[in-house]
Amino acid sequence: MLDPSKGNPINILIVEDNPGDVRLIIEALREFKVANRLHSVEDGEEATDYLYKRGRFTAVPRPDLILLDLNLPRKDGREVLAEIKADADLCNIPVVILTSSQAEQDILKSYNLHANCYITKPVDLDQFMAVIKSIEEFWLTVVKLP
Amino acid sequence: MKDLDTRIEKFLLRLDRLQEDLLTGKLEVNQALKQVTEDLSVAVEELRGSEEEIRSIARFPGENPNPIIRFSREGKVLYANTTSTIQLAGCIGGLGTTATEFWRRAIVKAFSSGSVYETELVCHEQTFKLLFTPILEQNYINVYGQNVTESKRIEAALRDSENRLNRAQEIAHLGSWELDLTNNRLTWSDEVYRIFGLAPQEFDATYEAFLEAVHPDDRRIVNEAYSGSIHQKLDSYEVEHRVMRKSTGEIRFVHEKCEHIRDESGRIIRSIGMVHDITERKVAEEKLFEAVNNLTRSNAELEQFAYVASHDLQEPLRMVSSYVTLLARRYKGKLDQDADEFIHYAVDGATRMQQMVQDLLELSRIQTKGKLFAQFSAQEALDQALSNLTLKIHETQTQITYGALPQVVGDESQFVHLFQNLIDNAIKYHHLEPPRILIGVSRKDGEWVFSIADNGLGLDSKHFTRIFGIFQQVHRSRKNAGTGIGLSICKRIVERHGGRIWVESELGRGATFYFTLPTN
Repeated sequence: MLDPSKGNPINILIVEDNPGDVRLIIEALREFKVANRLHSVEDGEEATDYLYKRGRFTAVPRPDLILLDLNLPRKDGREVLAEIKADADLCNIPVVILTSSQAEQDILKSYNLHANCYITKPVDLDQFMAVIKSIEEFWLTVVKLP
Repeated sequence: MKDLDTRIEKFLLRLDRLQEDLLTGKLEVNQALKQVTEDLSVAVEELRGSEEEIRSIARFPGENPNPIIRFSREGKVLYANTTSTIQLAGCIGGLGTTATEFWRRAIVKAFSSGSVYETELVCHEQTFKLLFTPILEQNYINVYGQNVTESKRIEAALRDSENRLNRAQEIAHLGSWELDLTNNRLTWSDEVYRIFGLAPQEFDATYEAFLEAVHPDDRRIVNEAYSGSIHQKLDSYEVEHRVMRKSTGEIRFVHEKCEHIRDESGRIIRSIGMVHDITERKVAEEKLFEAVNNLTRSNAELEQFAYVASHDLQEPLRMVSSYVTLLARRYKGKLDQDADEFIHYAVDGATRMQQMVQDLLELSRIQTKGKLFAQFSAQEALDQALSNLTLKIHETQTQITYGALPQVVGDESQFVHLFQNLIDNAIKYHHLEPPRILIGVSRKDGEWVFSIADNGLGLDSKHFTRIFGIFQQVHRSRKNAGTGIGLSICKRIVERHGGRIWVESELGRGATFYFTLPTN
């Protein structure tokens, strides 16, 4: 289904309410080796609408990777994660929790909800770039996705 | 005297009988004369004896060691015994003279009442108790005196000490009571009455009256304390309870202590106790407790505030820092020199502020997010700290010497941090030569005393306390840029472990940081 070597761009969905972070991720992904197409939504409701192709998201592609913030308006990132992992159709999409929360219970809860990876947003830009790059390498080149 | 009268009567009777016998011729004159002579000689003998007896009796008041005086109803001195002439010399007046006004008044009072009149007289600084005893049919009055100076003094001293005790009890709010079990008599000191909200000695003390003064909810425990001490054959007991003042409804807190006194057979004959009004102390304790609670709460709130503030500051700060860094990455050398410099300062400021916020966050987490205490090796904590500082130690060619460190109880990760901060400091503020650091430990008065000594810049004694305060830096320079929170963190960690931290130093001669940790 996914083969970056063939040059098909991969679709990444960013669920993040802070446009500053969205832009940073975009800037970091610019330096990706792999062709990618970014889609961003600002809250949990929009995230599920996107995934179920509701409303203005009827024509969007299925994401190959989701970067999910935990603290979101309207619908919490934890709820979004639970919904994705409970859905037979969506549960295969790798979800990376990307958040500034360092609370242990958040980390545990996310893994319990089958988050594929949990990453605390680094405070330093270079580290942030490195993290985004490592997500790319890990999820798009190392892991064989279904 | 009556005895003498009957004897004379008998003698006269005998003479009558002799006369009769002479007249009837039963007895001859010679015989009669002889008998009379015999009787007379016996009578004379007896009379002699009687006279001696009378004299002896008459001497009796004179020999009395107490003053005895007789006055006529008009106040003339009829008799004064030796003691009174000596002890009351000058206070009465001579024999046959009229006594002074004091005496005359007393005599009038005694006669007018017709009974004994008691009064006191001070003469030559001695106090006499005088009993004026009028003999109405004889129209004279006998006065019996007694020198009561000493007993008055003792009485006064006793009253004085009782008053003082009473006053002391009043000041201390400490009443005393005594129960005599041989007659079931209970006595309370004045202060007991006062504590119970009663007037001193308002009524006779009883156990029932006591129980009534006790707060209804505390009567059971008070009763049990007393009866329990008797059943369990204890010599004493203590109980704390409330007293409800009947008149005002006011509640007082008292501490009672009682001791039983036993006879040889072990039977309790007396119980003595004290009632201490501790209301003020209780109120103060409660206030203190409340103040401590408030302080603890406000401390926790402050910590929470610091945590939330520093945590929430991180987000916008991350944006600032990330974007100025991004600016620097993308545009360095592409704009003019001014732009490069501005960006440089923006990046520098953002980076330092980030460090500060992180340190603040850490400081606020020491208490609230600290781990439970467990036993660990201080040696391993030091090793970990040194390993975290490997690069820095290598770069600065720092020489570190240390002996074996003990097993201790605490939060190991905080200890790693403590060592790391102190060693980092010692390296940071080094002098001209490469830093040398000596780490040691000794045991003193139930505490471990750790020391971290360096050969660095040292500091003046006026900074010894200040440096442990937040945002306080002694050496400010670009090169040594610190956040000014490191030592505050150290202090917090040490205090969380029940220890103290301080520094000893001389400017230019290195510094030694000490911190203690209780051994148990």
